[in-house]
Amino acid sequence: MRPILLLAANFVRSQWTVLTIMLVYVVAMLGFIGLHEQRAEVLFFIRQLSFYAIFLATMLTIPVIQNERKSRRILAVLSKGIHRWQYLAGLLLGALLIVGAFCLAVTLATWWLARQASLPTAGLGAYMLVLFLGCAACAAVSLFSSVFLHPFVALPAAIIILFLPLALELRGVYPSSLLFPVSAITHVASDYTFQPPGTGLWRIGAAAAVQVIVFLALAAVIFAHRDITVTSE
Amino acid sequence: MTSPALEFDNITKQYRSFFHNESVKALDGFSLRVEQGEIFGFLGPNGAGKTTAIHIALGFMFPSSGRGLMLGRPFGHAATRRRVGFLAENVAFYHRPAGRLVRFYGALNGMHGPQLRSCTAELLKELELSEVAGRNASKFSRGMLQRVGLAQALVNDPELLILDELTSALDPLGRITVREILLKARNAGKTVFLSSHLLSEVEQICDRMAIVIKGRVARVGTVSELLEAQNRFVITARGIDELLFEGTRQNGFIKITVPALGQRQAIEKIWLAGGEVIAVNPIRRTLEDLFVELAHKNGGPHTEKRRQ
Repeated sequence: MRPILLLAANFVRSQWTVLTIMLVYVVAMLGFIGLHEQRAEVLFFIRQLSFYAIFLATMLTIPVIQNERKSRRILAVLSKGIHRWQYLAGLLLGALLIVGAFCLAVTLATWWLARQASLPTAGLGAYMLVLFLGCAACAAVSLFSSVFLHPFVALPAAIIILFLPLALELRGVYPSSLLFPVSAITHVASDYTFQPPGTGLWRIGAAAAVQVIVFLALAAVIFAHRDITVTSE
Repeated sequence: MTSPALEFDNITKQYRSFFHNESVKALDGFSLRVEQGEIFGFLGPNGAGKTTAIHIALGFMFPSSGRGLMLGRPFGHAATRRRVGFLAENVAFYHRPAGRLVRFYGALNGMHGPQLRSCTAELLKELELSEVAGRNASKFSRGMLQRVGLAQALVNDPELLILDELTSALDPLGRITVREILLKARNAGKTVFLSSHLLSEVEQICDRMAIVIKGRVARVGTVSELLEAQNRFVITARGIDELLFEGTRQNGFIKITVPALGQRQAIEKIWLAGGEVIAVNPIRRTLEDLFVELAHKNGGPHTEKRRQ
């Protein structure tokens, strides 16, 4: 577990500018919307930032392996006595720490705004927790794609795995939200109204948690059998 | 008989292009055995497959065929890597202070607490990095980065040290420091596997070495074995008529080059002519001569691309 924590902390440290920018954005939006405190604006705030959280999780993990390989920093790390799955788990945990910090900041900001606008906050914590699980699933799927694909290909591949139902729905096909929890979470986010969550939301959250484990395991299996360097020779 | 520190057994590594229409054999039936407690030089021109061999040993990539052992375990065994130190060519690190970087890599190898702190401080001092330990490594020169790289490779007190082009960016003082560290490691029973282009460096400190050309070991042996392999001698004599012998005259001495088998005959001829034999020395070619000779003998230094 210790190598995973070390690698996660290292990832957070290397991405602190991204986290800072996102937190500054939350504070700036909070200041701007705090001036009005209208229900519609508070809803806009949380819905918009929910999508940003999903976007952040994906964008943090898609290029990470490629960057590490290109910079050759991966060599010094994987020459140590750690397994490749631990390396992946460290990167994933690091990304989730950043996304978690962002989600926490959004939760606190939304809670404050909702209180100012006299909106109910009972379901906010549960919604943010499920959103975080959705972000974790996004990160796991993105990491899975990036262990064997170039980021330019890994991104569309991850988007297809995560958001296929959104395209199918246009054709009148509605796949189970348990198979595509992130897609279901984006539906919940776009319709969010501060209502207490039903059991459906928890099921989606649980499905997202399972997706994290499955895709991390798949990524680990593929990564364990791949050449991580191609020499310059 | 002790098990070797590193053993490559008939390893082939073939890179294929995306559409599999071009392939490059970086290693082709590569076999090599590095014994424990020696400094082993690993030489070869660019593109000969040195880095590929090292990366296979460390489990960064997998051979197309063949297998190998590192400290008695198959290549890529994670727990074995805890007993190994590695410094890559074109070393790259995270943007963190040098001291923290070394501690980070030590911690990845399972070290912690006061032991890790004291080892780090000791190494930084030995490599003359103590004063800059708090500075971000991203602002370091290549030479300083290589010192940090060596520190992270040594922090776990490895049994086997694999160094890929270690001294390429070091200044002469840095090279002397590194040489001393490597000799100290060897004297402590550690194995050093040193890949380098700096022939003089290898000649000075290595017990044995291998020259790799086109993914195969072209020659392996001790430094003296490889350099004295010409079987020719120079006889230095005086007091003889230079017309009787073909040689070069210098300060009253004549130097005659003879094949090993003709040595006795030539000495007797000098004595019969009333001359005095001053010295008989084997001809030592330089490592550079050997290197160039082997490269030409094998049809040039580089591995070839093949279209299928």
